Amino acid sequence: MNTMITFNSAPIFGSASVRTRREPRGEQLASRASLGFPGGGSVPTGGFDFGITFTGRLITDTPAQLHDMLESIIDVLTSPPARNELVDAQGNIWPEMSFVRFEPLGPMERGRVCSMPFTARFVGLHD
Amino acid sequence: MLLFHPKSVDFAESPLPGVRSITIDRKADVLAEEWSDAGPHQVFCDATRLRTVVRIVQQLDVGDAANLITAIVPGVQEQLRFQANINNASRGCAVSMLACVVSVITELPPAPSSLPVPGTGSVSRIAMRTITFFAVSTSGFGDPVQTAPL
Repeated sequence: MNTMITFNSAPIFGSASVRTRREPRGEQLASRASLGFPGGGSVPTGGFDFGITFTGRLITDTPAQLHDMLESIIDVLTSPPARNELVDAQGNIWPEMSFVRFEPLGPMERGRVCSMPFTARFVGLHD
Repeated sequence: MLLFHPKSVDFAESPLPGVRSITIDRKADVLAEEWSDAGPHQVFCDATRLRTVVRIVQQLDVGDAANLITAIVPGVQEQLRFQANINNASRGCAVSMLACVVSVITELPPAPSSLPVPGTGSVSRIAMRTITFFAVSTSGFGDPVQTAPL
């Protein structure tokens, strides 16, 4: 099964082919020395935000369509970030996720179609 | 595309005599490729940087120094034009392009190719020069190789 990624039920990246990477989970550590404590070792400072990063390529027929797609993606990058349901290309559902970063990984490429490689990051922010 | 004995070959408005063949090769210098989470197979491929390579093989008479010393050196970019009769069509076509010289290689074939010069007792050797060009598009969008029926 391979479907489009949706955020708040909208296919945010169109028919882009993507790879999905789950970010590290667990506890963040800080050295005791950096916090002013005597002695060595580390102390836990809280869990990582749960994050998912998509890496792929936006694909359109024309440069104008690619421009429009980029604008629509940027419109979803709100500040503060909204929390919505994210569904990945495999159909996995991630509730209460926030879209926090979109980065083109290169210029628009023009061949048979117009395309642009990108990475996008969603996180489950702590309250 | 491979053309034997094309007619009226000129570069930078100067004729290139003795052209035996011209080849026009096209290749993708850069591919945009993607795989997905769905499986191992490639799901996207596009040729996003194309290169058109033109090679002219020219027969030179070693005795004609004028043929050996030319202004055709790497980096020179001028119009390349020739006439071609493709697929033995009754009417040929004129081919033109903006072309940048990227290499000029002259080779002297081994001795068996040497030909005696009648009445002189000396040997005239035939040299072959291969000039390689990259065809350049003025717009980036249009095909750099232009053809027109004669």
